[in-house]
Amino acid sequence: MEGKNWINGRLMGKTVALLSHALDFRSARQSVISGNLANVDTPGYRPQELSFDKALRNAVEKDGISLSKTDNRHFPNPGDPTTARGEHTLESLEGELSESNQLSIDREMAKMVQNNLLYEASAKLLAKKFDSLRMAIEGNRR
Amino acid sequence: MDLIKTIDVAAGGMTAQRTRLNIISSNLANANTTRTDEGTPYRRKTVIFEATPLEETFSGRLEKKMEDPIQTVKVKEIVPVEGEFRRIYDPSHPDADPQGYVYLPNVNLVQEMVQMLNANRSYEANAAVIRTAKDMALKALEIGGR
Amino acid sequence: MDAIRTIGGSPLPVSGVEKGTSPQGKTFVDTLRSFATQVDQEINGANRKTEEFAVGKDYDLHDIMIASEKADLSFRLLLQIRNKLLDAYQEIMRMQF
Repeated sequence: MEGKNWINGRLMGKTVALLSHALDFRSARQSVISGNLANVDTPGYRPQELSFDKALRNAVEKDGISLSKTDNRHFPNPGDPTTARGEHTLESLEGELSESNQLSIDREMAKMVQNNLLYEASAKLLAKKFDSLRMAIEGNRR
Repeated sequence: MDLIKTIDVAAGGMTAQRTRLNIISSNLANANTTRTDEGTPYRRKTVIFEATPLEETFSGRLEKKMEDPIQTVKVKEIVPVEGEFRRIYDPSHPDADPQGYVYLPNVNLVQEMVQMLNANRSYEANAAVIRTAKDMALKALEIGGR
Repeated sequence: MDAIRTIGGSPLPVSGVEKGTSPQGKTFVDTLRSFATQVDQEINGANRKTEEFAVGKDYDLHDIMIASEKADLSFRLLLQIRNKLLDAYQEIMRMQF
């Protein structure tokens, strides 16, 4: 009906869509890591990990413009307990039961630091992108 | 929201570890208690943790909560640890049995100290999760700039 | 379209521009209208997300911030376009023949 997608397509572009999605992923991953650390001493608990969905990665490479927040609702399995948000794979790590609790804490903490850094980097990059768009639109204020 | 959920999960972890520390503290305090109210020496206690779904805390009404695979932790129960009491020969002890033996709690000081350090480390890890989640949320607020 | 109406009372004076069309058969007015509609949707979407957050429904903080910023920026762009069109119109009106 409307032809081109002016805002998400032309104005914002792939960058905003990708960074926005990165933030979704990183904040979801933070809660997974949190669950692992809370249960580090729980007998029988298998640590979980969130991994970027390969299908999504392919979709992004082919046509990044379609990656807007509303598209998440169209991904399969919103009620599937093995997927967080339906587009990333939540998996229980096999063979981790024998690992000592101390190693688990070390590993999860390292993951958390990395995840935090990437989240904040994505947020900062997004802020910068918006900033530069604003400058481009308004330039010298009249 | 994920970050609020993260904080709820970590808060559960901190509470559970604190209970664990309290039990360890009780074990250490009673390491030499030869007679409790029940008449026997103090028996070492331990906590059993259990993964549990998030309750409706500050997160509000999350529609999809029942299917949420993220779990926090809670203390399922506090159980006495089976095992023989140590015994020493000391007929002069007020709690000595007819044969002159005194039975001491099955508390190993070194073991309890190690447990305490581990519980503390787990507690701190959960505290770090909350700090990190807060930092992430604050950073998200800066997306708007200005 | 409430947000769009507040930009300026009178409709855009672009009658002379309607003659030219893009390869798809769209005029400048069509394009602008399409953009304005999308801006309106963007603003309504951002408002809705903010309202849901305010009443305690599930939300994503970064999602709300991003939606607000997108709505703001696209609205500012629309505003700038309108300003420039108005300037162009006034410039033309000022010309004496």
